[in-house]
Order: sequence, then C-alpha cells, then structure tokens
Amino acid sequence: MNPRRIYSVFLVNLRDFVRDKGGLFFTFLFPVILMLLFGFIFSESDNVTYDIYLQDRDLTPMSENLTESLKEVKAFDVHKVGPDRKLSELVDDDKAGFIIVIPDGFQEHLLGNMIGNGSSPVNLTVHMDRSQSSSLVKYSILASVVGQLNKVMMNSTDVMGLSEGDTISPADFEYIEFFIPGVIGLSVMSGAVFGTIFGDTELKKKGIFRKLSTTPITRGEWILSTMLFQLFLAALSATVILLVGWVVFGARLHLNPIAALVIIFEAFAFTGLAMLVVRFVKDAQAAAALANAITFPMMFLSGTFFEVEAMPAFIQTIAKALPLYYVNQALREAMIFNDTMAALGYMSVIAIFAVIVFLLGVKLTTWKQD
Amino acid sequence: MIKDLYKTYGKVNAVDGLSLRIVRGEVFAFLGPNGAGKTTTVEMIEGIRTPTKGSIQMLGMDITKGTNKVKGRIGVLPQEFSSFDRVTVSETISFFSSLYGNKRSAKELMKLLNIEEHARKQYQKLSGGLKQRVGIAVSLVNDPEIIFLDEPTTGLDPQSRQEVWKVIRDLKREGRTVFLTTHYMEEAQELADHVAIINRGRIIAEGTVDELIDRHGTGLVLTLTGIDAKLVPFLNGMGCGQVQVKGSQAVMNLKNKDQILGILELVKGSGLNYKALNVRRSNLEEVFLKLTGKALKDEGDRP
Repeated sequence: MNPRRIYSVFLVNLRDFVRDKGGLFFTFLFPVILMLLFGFIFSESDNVTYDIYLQDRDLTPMSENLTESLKEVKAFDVHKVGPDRKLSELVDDDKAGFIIVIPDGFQEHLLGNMIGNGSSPVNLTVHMDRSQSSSLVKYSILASVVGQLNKVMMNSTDVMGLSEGDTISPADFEYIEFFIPGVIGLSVMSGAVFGTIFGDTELKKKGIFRKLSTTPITRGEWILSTMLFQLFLAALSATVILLVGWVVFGARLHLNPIAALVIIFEAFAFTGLAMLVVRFVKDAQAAAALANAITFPMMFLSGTFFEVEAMPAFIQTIAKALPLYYVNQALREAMIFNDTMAALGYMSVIAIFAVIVFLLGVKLTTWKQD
Repeated sequence: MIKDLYKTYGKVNAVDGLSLRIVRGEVFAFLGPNGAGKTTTVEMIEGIRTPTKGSIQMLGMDITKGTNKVKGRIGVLPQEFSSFDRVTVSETISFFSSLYGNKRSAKELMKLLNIEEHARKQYQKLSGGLKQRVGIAVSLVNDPEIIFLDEPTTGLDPQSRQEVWKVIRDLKREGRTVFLTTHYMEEAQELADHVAIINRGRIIAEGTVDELIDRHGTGLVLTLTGIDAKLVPFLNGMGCGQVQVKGSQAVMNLKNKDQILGILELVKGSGLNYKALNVRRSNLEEVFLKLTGKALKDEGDRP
C-alpha cells in the first residue's frame, strides 16, 4: 500500500466528480429535494380537517343543535346541504365522500326516547366512500361525538375513563425526524451503488483499467482509494441532509456515533454489492438496469418513507431480508431514540453483510482481460 | 523475446504459436488486419492478459511469472484508450506520473508532445488527435525503455496522424524501443525498422520493410491513367500477366525495368492516348495480399 498513490486516485476521482453537474445533483441536491417534498407534505398532518356533508331533513331545533355540535368538532369541515338535494348529485357534483343524513322526524323520535317512550335509538344515516382511507377516521370521530351527546342527554356519569399517563416512547418525534435517517440511508446507498457501477463500467469502457494494470498501482490500492472517496461523499451528503433538516424543519436528531459507523458499513456493503454486479455484467446499460433493480424496491420496502411496521405482513418479511432495512432501523434507533444498544443490534447485521459482500467484491474484481 | 505464445478461447487459438524477436532501440511494427490477434498478443506482452501457453522475455525478465518489476520500465498506450472525462490534460498526466513516483513532470511531457496550450482543457473536450497525444504523454510518464502503442492512429485525420508519426520518430531518436501495432501498411512502411505481419494468430512474414517487399512483393507496379479502352488488349499481350483495369486505369506488375520501355513503345505505336504513367515499387499492402489472398483493409470486424 502506497499512500501517495491512494491520495492521487482520491484526487483524480474528486476532480472528475466535482466537475460533473449530474453527479453533484444526484448526490446532494436530489436527497435534499426529496426531504423538502416529503417534509412539507407530512408536516401539515397536525391540522388536518376532514370534509363532511350534512343533510338535515328534519329542520327542527334539535336537528339544528346537532348540526351546531358537529360544526364545533375541530376535525370536521361541515358542508351543510339542503334537504331536497339528491345524494347521487352530491356524490357526482360535489365529490362528497362522506354524507350524514339527519332523518325526517328526528326531533320527535329523539324526544320520545328521552322521556322513555322509545324502544330504538334514532339513527343518523351515514353514506361513505369506503375506498377513501379517511372515511373510517371520520366515522370513528362521528361515533365518539354521538356517544358523547348520548351521555349528555341521558345525564349519565362515566364509569370508565381515560387519563394520559407518562409517554412510553423515549422521545416524541415528528415525521421529518423519522424521514431524515431514511433519506441518509437512501442517498448513501444510491451513491455507493450508482457511483461504483457507473464509475467502473466507464473506466472499463475507456480502457483506464487496462492502462492502470500496466502501472505499479495495485488493485487493492485502487479499491481502497475509491472506497475512501465514497465514504467522503457519504459523510458529506449526510451532513448536508442533517443541516437542511435542522435549518428548514428544526429537526432534532441525536448525533450518535453509531450512526456514523452504520453509514460506513452501509457504504462498504453497497459498494461491494455493486462491484459484484459490475464483475458479472459487461455492458453499461445492463449494469444501470441492475443498479435500478437493486435500489428501487429497496427504497420502498425498507422503510425509507414509511414505517415497515405499517406494511402488510408479507412485505415486512421481505423487508427483513433487505440490507437497507437494517440500515434504516439502526440509523433511527441511533438518531431518533439515541438507543445505542438497539442501534448496535441492527448495525451488526449490516456489518456482517458488508464484510462478506465487500471481500467477495474485492476478490472477484479483476483488471485483467480474459 | 517471445516464444511459442498461445492464447486460446474455447477451441479457437486467437494466438497460435507465435514467436517474435524485437531489437532494442528500433521501431517494431506489428501489422495485421483487424481480428488477426495483434491486440491479444500485445496485451499478453504488456501483462494485461495471461497467455494460455508460451514464454515472454522482456528486458531480461520472464513476464509470464509476474509483471511487477517490468511495469516501471515499460509504457503502454492501450487500444482505444481514453481518460477521465472532466480531468484536465495537465492533471491527467500528473495523475499517471504520480503512480510511478513523479519521475517526469506534466510540464515536460506536454512540451515534448507540443500540447502545452491545451494544459487546462478537460480531456472530454479534446479532439481525437490531441487525445492520442495525451495518451502517448501518459505512456511516457515513467521514462520507459519500451513503449507499446496499440493502434495509435486509428480513426485520426491525416494531419493528426502525421503529428503522431513525428512523436514516434522522436521516441526512436531518444533511443527508446517502440512496439507499434497497426493495420495501416503505410504506417509500418513509414516508421518501422522491422515488421512482422500477423494473420489468424500466426506470423506469416517478418523482416525489414525492404526485405519483405523483395521477398514477397510483386516487383514494379506500373499504372497508366486515363487510357483508351482499346489499349487494353495491346497491354495484355506484353507478357506482364493479366492487366487489372479499373475504369480508365490499367495496373500491371512488371518483371523488370526494361518492360517499361516496351510498354511506352507499344502505346506510342498504337497511336492511342493516356494521361499519366506511374511506376513504383510494390508495397506492404501487396505483400499482404499476396501472402493471404486478402486485402489488408477489407478484413472483418474488431475482436
């Protein structure tokens, strides 16, 4: 190992890289844009209001009262519609997805129930579009409002209640704080996979590897140097993402040293994986397709954007076979919860994977021609 | 220097028992059509490929047993070599020079190849001729004793080719050995002290350019341009073999110089006219055609 040669290769890689606008974009700007997009989409979720349509066919003081009560629910944005409008019209013209109908005779029936004459409750009819995931949320809010009103009207006292205890999760975190470790994991992965695959196929095509094999530099020196360069880029892009997250969203994440180790192992793992791909795929286009085939599913299945726990069981099983899942888990344990032990647990998986894949990649990479 | 070299792919011998000897300080041209095994052979000598069988001695070392020691003493311009796109000429030369411990500076080499004014240009923005000159500069960073240039002028315009040729002559003047691979016979004829012609993985002729032409050439070649077609039957009767007619041009292989006079008298006597007459010695192209029955330029695709 000759340090001067390693430095020279690092320098030539750096020069070639910083003058490549496309490469700079994908390494630094793309993850930041991704983070800004997702950050803004989900940071609004606290003040969400749901549109509901309300048709009062009774038009009595009691039904007016109910309408007012529903209007007071902060989560609801109530659109009142006239008693004569057809439901199908509402659906077609107003795109109504959740319609509550107060039936004719509502007040009469209700009063009867209150003085003990009624045998069945008066029902509000709810028409909802079950294909909208928000419908169930609206329904359960409505149900609790109705329950509350029942209680008030019958003067009943609670026999069972809820009180908020101590928070169980060590830290309350925002979506953006969940997302930032995911973006870091994603950008380090794509940097390593695409950087290695495009870099190596290009150097092969240009005859630079053939040329290098006639000079004193060893393959080991070359790989070490490009690896250092990849790590340098990974560290730089992680820093940029963290800074933007902090400045724009005020995201507070722990700078747990395990996170740095995870990033190092991740870079080794995906560089090794890419080296294996390059070894067995000769032309650049096939290599690019394979790079996409590796990174694309992993991006969606490994919990970069959403928690894996929220996915169907079989996807969770697939996720647990993907290296990026362990990267994401380890980074989140370290950066969100500052839980070193849990992070180390996930990290050990990616570390073992990194060592195996990288050593295989080094062993199978050759500059020689067949 | 090279003995009984074989390179086998499957059942095909790309290099089929090839032996060569290269004299130090000379320009050696390795000539052959595309796909003949030139690059395979030269890459085995450079250590890029491993021979299936055979031995290669270079600078007193057996390089089939490892090329590490010889690497510092040879310079290589691989076939179709290009460099890092966005790295400048000066940075590119410095990079390769640093791999050998900076024996020669980029400045010195740029001056040698007359590319100083392009020092700060990125490699990707250079013309083909300039790229080749950068490639040659890069192959000289370690002050090598032997320089391998694999098809250094393929795809270059005539002016760039002349520039590369000048560099090769300069290298020889400095006392370096140049191993030149080419499929241009005029390049070999122009530059080489010794030539070996390879076809289908075998050496089919070897020697100086003069020797090869004397041994395998067709003697003198006389060309009459702008002839009247009625002249052809007369010419065929001259005893120079079949006259090759291409349009208004007639080409004849002469057995000796005296036949020139005979032809002139015949043409004069016939009262028919022609525009120009040219007599020259046969060239490597014709040597190759005679040896293989094929034209050098028409041979198939690249390996």
